[in-house]
Amino acid sequence: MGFEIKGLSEKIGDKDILKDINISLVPGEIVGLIGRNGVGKTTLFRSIAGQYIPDTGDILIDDQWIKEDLTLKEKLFYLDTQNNFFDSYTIDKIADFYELAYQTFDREKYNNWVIEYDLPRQTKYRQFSKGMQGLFNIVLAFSTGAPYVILDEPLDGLDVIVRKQVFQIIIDAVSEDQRGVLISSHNLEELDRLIDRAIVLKGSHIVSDYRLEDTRSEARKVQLVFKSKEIPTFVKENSRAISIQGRVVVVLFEHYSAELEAQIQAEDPALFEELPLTLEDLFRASISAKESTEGEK
Amino acid sequence: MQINKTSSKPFYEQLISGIKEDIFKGILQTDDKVPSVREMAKIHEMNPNTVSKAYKVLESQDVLVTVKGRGTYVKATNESDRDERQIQKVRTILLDTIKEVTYLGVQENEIHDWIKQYFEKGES
Repeated sequence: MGFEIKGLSEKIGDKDILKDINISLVPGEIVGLIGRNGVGKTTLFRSIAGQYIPDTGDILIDDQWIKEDLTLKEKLFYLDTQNNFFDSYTIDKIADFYELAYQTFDREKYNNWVIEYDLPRQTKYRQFSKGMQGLFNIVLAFSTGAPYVILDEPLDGLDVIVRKQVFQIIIDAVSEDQRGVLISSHNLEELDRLIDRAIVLKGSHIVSDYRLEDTRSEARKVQLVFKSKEIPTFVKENSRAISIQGRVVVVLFEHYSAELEAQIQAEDPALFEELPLTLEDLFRASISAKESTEGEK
Repeated sequence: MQINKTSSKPFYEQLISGIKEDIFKGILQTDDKVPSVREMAKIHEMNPNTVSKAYKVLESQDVLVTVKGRGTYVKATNESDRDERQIQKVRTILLDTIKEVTYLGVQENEIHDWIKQYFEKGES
């Protein structure tokens, strides 16, 4: 069981937009896809949805290749919020379209949500406020019954009330119906508690895949001031820099151990303090790593 | 129970200690039903798998018990149920912590005060 992207690459001209992307998602799991603007997240989603034909690679849904069986697309939901076809329709009309495309569409669930969230049935989608559109997109996604759902920036521009409603729908769908959710967001603080795994995309490929709760158990973020100006070699070798300001270095040890702690103590640092580790730290550490060796082009 | 976003502890560990603290303070009592995984996830806007992991640990430590189809409850505790091995383990951690704060220059009476404060006001 599961949704797998296998070796997906996408070129435009001779520029690599995506290179050898491998992502897996199982039912009941929430995976966050994070990366800076323009790193190819939307391209990846569109390739998954079949809007772009990838140069190499394919998608495996519940152990079957999507190329060989296009009906598998019913198991996947992705809404291209930047260019959807349904702007000028009412939401019930939009639901009709999706009911045709998804045999598993749950009209009762859909109706209940529309009533619960007071979504206007006579108004065209494009006349909805941004918050209402965001909420409707989530309602639509989880009404289709598709076991795997891709959400592109679902929290973007929502007020706190709508944001909370969106969270609740996602949590229900994951815990009750075992949906697998792949979610992209720039709001790392909000993603932090919600996701099981964080996949970091940088320079057209995946640089990290963190299982957050495990990472929090194993990794440590520490602030250090060493007496010598040089940062000790063992620190450089075992950690990723989050920030360096003068002599104050903040580093992330992905695999912290008693030995490392002893080594740090042996240096007799002027400051040695553990700091809370956030998703933002993991993100910063992943995108700063290898920067020098990679040579961004 | 509060989940602290700025703590360096994993969220599931915070949940575990939060529930234990609620039991200790009497907010949760024997046979009380605790929120389902889904409800708890919604209350704290947290990943359901994280909550589920915390509940599993608490079940393995005999703090909670799940009755199929009915829910998860606080398990009765009494002296004979004391898990001596677990107590020894935690005691070692406590002693290590005392060693560490003593090394940092904290005086014995200060530590006594902390402990007193905790039991009086439940301050951590």
